[in-house]
Amino acid sequence: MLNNYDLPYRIIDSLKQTNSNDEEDYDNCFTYLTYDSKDKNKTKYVLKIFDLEKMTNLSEFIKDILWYKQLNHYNLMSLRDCFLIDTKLHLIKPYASFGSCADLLSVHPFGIREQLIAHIMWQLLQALRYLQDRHIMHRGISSKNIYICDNGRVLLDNFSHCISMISPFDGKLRRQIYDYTDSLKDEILYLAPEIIYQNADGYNFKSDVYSLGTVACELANGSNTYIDMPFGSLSMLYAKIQGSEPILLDQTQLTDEMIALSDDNSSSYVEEIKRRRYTKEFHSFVKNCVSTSLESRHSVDELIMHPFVKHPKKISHDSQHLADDMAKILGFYKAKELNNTEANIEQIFDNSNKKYNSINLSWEF
Amino acid sequence: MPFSSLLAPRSKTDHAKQLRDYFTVIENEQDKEKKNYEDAIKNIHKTLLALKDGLFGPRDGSSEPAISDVSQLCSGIYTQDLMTIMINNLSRVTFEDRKEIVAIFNNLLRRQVGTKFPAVDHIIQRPGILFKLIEGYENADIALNCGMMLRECVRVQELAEIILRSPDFYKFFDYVQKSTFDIASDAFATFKDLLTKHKPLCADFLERNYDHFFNKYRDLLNSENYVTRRQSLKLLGELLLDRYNFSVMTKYITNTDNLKQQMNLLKEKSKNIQFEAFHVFKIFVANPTKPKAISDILLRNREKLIDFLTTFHTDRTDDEQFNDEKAYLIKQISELKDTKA
Repeated sequence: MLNNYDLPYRIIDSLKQTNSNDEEDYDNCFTYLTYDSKDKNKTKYVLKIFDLEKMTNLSEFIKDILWYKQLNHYNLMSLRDCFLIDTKLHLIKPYASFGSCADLLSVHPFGIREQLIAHIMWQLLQALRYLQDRHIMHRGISSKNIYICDNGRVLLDNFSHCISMISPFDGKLRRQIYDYTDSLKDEILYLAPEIIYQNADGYNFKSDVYSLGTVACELANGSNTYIDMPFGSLSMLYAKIQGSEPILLDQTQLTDEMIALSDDNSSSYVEEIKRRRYTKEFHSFVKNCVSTSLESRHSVDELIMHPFVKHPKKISHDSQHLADDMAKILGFYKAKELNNTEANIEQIFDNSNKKYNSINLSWEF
Repeated sequence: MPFSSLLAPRSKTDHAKQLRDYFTVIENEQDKEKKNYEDAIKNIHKTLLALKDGLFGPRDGSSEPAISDVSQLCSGIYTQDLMTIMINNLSRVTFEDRKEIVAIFNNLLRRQVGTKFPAVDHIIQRPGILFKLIEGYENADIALNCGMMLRECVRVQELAEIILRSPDFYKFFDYVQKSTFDIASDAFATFKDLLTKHKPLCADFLERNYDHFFNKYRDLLNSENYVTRRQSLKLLGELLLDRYNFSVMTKYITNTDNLKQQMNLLKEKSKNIQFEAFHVFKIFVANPTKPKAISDILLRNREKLIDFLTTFHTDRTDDEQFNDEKAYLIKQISELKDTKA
């Protein structure tokens, strides 16, 4: 079947990324590693195949794709190609070999190095400034949607929650928006308290900053502050409404209570927290991002000037670290690898072709 | 230049005049090699940003722009005929500047002065702007930008009417089948807006141009492109079931070719297409005054249709309306009487 399948890209391998919510949203998405068959350098790309036949709401999905075509920034995920073969839509995106930040955390369960976080934050702020200059709110900043390439380039992906601050009703630039679309709950752990309140004050770009701050915390702590709370999202909502703000867990924040509560499972984590100490710049950066009060929360422009990101140590200085990370991640993928890729691909196309054979029936006209 | 003129604050109308001059430079393609072409591109970027800030207020949203400034700015844009110039040069400016032009254009269209929309009146005087935008779908670089502006225009009944009354409207039948997925999808969104935004206008258009329109539409339903087929079939169902289009619907369901096409779509491999076809097919069957030719076809296929419908999408158990309709169709078809007998 593969022979009949006229694809301008050559498939190298199948990919499975952890926590990548694309697969959850559209469970009929297959992801492959490819290169353009005309490209001599064999630059790697990610090929995502969506079966539109299994999607009930086509126009929503098309809207997401059109966002890619309107944005062009070094730190935003782009769409190299997009074409339809039968009922299957093929999307070609740049390949981020480090995977998403969520992937990164699955090999660094206690969090990643501060310099790397500063590097990621700096690039994300550039992306956010680009979006903000075009009056676009992202509303979906989460560790799953941030990808890292092997040259250190950071890419923000998933524009399905993007919204323009230009009102669709009167064409004016809005200061606040009041859009509480149901789908926002996809990223509920990252949502700013003012979005959760859903009150008459609305929300604005600063809500993206809040999400950015929670990602910074997550990267440092190893997991989202509000994950695994006793009553799930309800506890999270209560905590956020009570004014709780995520913090960086290091020796300065460690309380006796936490040590007392630690059991065998978490003792190594507590040990790690005891050992590490984040810089005061990092603490202040996070505080400025996740402040519940909008006045004390910084804007993107202010954060770009923040000492934490303004003078980050060059990532390339610790290339050994980077290589180690890389090796870990590769090992991680290997462990998850699907058994036989080639057979797998064959099977997928084979299945689909069988499934869609036309009904054997002829009308009498 | 006298010193005093350097100190004098630039009046807002200047931006429009400046832009016009810069655009004249880049319109002259031979200048492309020269430095002043590049300078003009840079200056266009700066001036567009200034123009946009003038219309929207500062980027951080801290204050509303002053109404007097805005109206001065707008009148400058109209006197310089800048809307036409911007659209004509859309493909010559940079990727980012195209989006600035879209933002400016769409903002102008929404601007209301008293009971009037000056930009709408301006475009009515210069319908060439609309046709230029439609033509934009042929250039991949600017297709999506043009689409966004066109949809903004189509919101206004007078402008939608100009497009529907022109032969250029039929270009959409080609655009929605383009091989570039995103452009075809965008063109379809505009096409759909044109046919659904202003119901009485659309109904009138469909009645007057019934033959031409549905001849073309039949090709969309038979398109090679799965998305075109699926979307146009869905739109057809929506159009026929709209009460404004009642007389179009009654005409449509008396034609045997239409029935045959829908019956063939019913047995397409795609479940979604089958489902949409069902919603068109049901109108043919439910019609209390079926022409003989229609009921003959149904009669000839009576057993097959009953079998087919009985096993049709049985997994949609929670869709009550669908199941009721299906049962109704089966009943109607089984009760069909052979008039010859």
